[in-house]
Amino acid sequence: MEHQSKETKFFNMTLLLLAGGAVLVAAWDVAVSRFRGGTDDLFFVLVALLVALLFATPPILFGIRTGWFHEKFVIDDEPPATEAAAEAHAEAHGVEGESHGVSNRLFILVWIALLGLTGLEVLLGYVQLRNDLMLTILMGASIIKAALIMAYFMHLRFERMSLVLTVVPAIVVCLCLMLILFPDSFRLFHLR
Amino acid sequence: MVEVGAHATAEPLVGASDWDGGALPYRVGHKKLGMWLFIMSDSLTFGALLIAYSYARISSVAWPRPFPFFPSIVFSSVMTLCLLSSSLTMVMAVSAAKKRDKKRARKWIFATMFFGAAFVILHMIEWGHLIGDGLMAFELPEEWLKIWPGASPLFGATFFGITGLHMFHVFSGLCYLGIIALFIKRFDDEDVEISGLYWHFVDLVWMFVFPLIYLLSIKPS
Amino acid sequence: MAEHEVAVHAHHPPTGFIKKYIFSVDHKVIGIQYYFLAIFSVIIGLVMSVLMRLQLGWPGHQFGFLKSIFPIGAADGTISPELYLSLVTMHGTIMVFFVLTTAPQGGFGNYFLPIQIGAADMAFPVLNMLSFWTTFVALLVMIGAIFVESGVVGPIGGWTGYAPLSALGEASGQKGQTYGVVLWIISIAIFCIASLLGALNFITTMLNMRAKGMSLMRLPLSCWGWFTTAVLALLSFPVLLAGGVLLLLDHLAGTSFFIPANLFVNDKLITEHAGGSPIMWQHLFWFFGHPEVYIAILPGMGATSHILATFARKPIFGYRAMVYAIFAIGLLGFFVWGHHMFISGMDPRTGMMFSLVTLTIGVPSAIKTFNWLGTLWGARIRFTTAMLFSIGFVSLFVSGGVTGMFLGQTSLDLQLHDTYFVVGHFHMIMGVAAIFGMFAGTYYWFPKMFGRMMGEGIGKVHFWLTFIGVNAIFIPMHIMGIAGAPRRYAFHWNEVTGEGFEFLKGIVPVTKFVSYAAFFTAAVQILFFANLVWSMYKGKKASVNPWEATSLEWTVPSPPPHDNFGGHEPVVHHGPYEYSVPGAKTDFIMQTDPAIAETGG
Repeated sequence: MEHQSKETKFFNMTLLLLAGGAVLVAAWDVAVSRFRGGTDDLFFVLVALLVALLFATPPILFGIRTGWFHEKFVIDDEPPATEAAAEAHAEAHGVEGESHGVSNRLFILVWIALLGLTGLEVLLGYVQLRNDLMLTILMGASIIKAALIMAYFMHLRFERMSLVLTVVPAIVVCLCLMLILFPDSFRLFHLR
Repeated sequence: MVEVGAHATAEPLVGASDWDGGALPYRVGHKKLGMWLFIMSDSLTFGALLIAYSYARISSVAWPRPFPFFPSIVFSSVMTLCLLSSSLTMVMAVSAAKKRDKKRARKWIFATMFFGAAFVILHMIEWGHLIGDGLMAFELPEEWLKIWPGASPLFGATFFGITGLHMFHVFSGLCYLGIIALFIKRFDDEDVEISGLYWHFVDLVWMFVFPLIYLLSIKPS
Repeated sequence: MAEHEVAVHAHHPPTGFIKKYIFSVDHKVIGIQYYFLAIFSVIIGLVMSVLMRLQLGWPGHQFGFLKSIFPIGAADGTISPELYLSLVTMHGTIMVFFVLTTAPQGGFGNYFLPIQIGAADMAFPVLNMLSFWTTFVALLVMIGAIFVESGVVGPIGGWTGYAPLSALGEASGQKGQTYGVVLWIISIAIFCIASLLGALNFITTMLNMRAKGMSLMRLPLSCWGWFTTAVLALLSFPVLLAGGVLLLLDHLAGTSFFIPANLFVNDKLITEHAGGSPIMWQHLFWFFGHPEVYIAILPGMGATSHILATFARKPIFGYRAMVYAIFAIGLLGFFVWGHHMFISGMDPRTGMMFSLVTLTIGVPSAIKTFNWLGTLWGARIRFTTAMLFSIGFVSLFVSGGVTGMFLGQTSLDLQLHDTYFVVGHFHMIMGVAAIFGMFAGTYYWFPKMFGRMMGEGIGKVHFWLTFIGVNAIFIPMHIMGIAGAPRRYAFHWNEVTGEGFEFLKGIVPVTKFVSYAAFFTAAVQILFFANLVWSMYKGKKASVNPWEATSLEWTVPSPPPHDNFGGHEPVVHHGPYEYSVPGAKTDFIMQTDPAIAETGG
């Protein structure tokens, strides 16, 4: 047990350090470009921040799970045992029990939210925003929509955290990695 | 990977029995885990295609923006509506199957297939219009070149490539759902749920294709 | 197909249901099928490399027999540059895809992953069968790519299929670049799907089907190797699939994803294409291509760790560090694809990033190397053939990996890129080291797979001759590279006609030496094949646990019955490498041994 917790601490510290490093890299880029960076600087900063978030996720989740945040930031609250109790409760019910608990009303609400976001996107197209602003808002809305679909329609919200932690970061890392292609395309544009 | 290890060590009490063998660590059966892994991998295929599209678009001097708000965007919005609604009906099918109500599950699956087929048909009509205008995978129509001089011929290639691959996924999803619906007596609720996972994934991909391909190419008024 | 039947006979006594065993869903039969598919491919690849060395050593000389094999490619008895390039292409493609990817993962992984984790079969047996037969179809299509056009000349674009040459088709004016390339791309795409299905099968099996007590930290390191490989395959092959689809569209639908405007090829201006970027193909290809390198080597690392501990009779040094290192290598392997493209004209800032991360991979690699050495330190080593090949793996991994540090730096890569230095480097680490991993696996697991021991004496001779041979081939290649010899050239200095690079006249003797070494090493492999076939029928009968190893595959009969554990599910009490435990009766404790539970794990 002692061995395990030491290792966990080492693990979390390493990940936090990596996250901090990524934030520093982002800050460095912002500072070097004197806050007037081009689009590729924006990409760079965004990717660095995403990587930082990703690295910071396991320690933060660990903190939530072990009640570390409770101790540090919330003084008068119910004991941290509830987390474990809720989990045990969920396990006792099993997969079916959980899904029975989700009413169809929730799904319809999610559907309405998805329609609303799509409507917003189409409306933005109608009023014709600037291209870069448009792209940012559209991608933001799409990521929210994808998250909603994955969380509720694909039931990821009701699966165990470990499955979420297996599926989501792998996709996010790989897709973020492909953003490294973009500096090239900007360069290519300038070369043409 | 890292997260697996972190989980195993971070949760010694609850996790201990789950990751120590003889159990399903995610409380998820083989087939469902397999489908999730397939979805991970397939999402990277689409990711790579969309990145290739963005790459081509950024590096081009001019990119055509041929879709007028009416009728093109309204039309594709209706397609989006179809696909989103099919996702809702699929969720209903899954929750009916969970309640062991196979008849209702089958009805909802048929509703899903109806919306999915509507999507494919609408998409085909749209393709037909664009091809009628003279848009091909390798060249742009003459009029477009007059409006956007020097526009990249990759517009047609990316448009047909990405929407075509997506349509292929919708089509195979229709076949998959058809098999599930026809032989629903032989499948249990998990199988229905897994087919649902695939279907929602196809919907999810469209949530990125629609804004990137259509909404960013609205014709300036 | 003959080899499948041989495998089946050796594995099961004749049952009369040959068909049942050819389209078998048993992971053991499928593993052996994969293994023999790889052996079939490796023979093709080996013959091609011998022909290439013949050309490189004696360019311009006429060889009568070549005329009859390649009536078009070698019409006058000398290998034409086109034929040489198509040999390069097919050698690379077949070796990388159908040998290095199939044998360690599909072959040994399929056979031993379920047994080592205590499962009766893979998670999706039918899918497993489908992945094998899809791979088989991919191989057939790939071989078709050689023959489809004008006799025996395949595509000439290299295994990387760089655009725009691979995308242009007929306009490139090269034989083998029209239908040949189309079949090549289709074969790769089919192979992507097969590997993807195989990978998700592996991951599901490993996560979901471990026997009771087989915790993550009690898995043999070979399992971790296969698992990490499967994760890499799952996440990298889809990107190649996407790239392949685009390349196929360029080829068949006339699009121009990878073809820029105003291309001047074959004395003609290409006017029908515009707007694409060849660098995009390189990005998409190498996004897959670099993880692919680790797909080839990681199973070898896993098997080597497993075998080293077994024959050193010591626990593996730093088990957890080994697991984390293998994951770190896998993860970092995704961040470094750009180091293949330093001089492609991509953004130099990304080059710096790729260079840094590339050098970082040295850290987990060094962790692994030092742990291997730590395992060997002070051990009473049993020098079996499998052990010799494992130590050879470590040696080649070091000597091949160190040159990776050279190539990972942008400034040095400017000089060394596309020279024989690169050829030497990647053959050393990805080719020969991975093959040594396979040899080690073969000598180690052969008794379990076929129920008979392999010949040890002939095996040791095979090891020493091969080890000397490969070093004699690839170390001089580094020197040639530093001297400036470019790769993918049919000759550097043609003594007969006096053509070529004047400044490379000096390396002609080295080239000849490398060729002799290559012929020697290729000839030595006959020993291996003979040993393999002979041992399959005439070898000494193997006991259940001939190596006195601890992991689960050594608790079942050799060869294992259809459902591996005879219907009961094993329970695991120990870590995988409990050798020479103080106080124990024997010098090894089986993982299933309940005797002194709670000593390890």
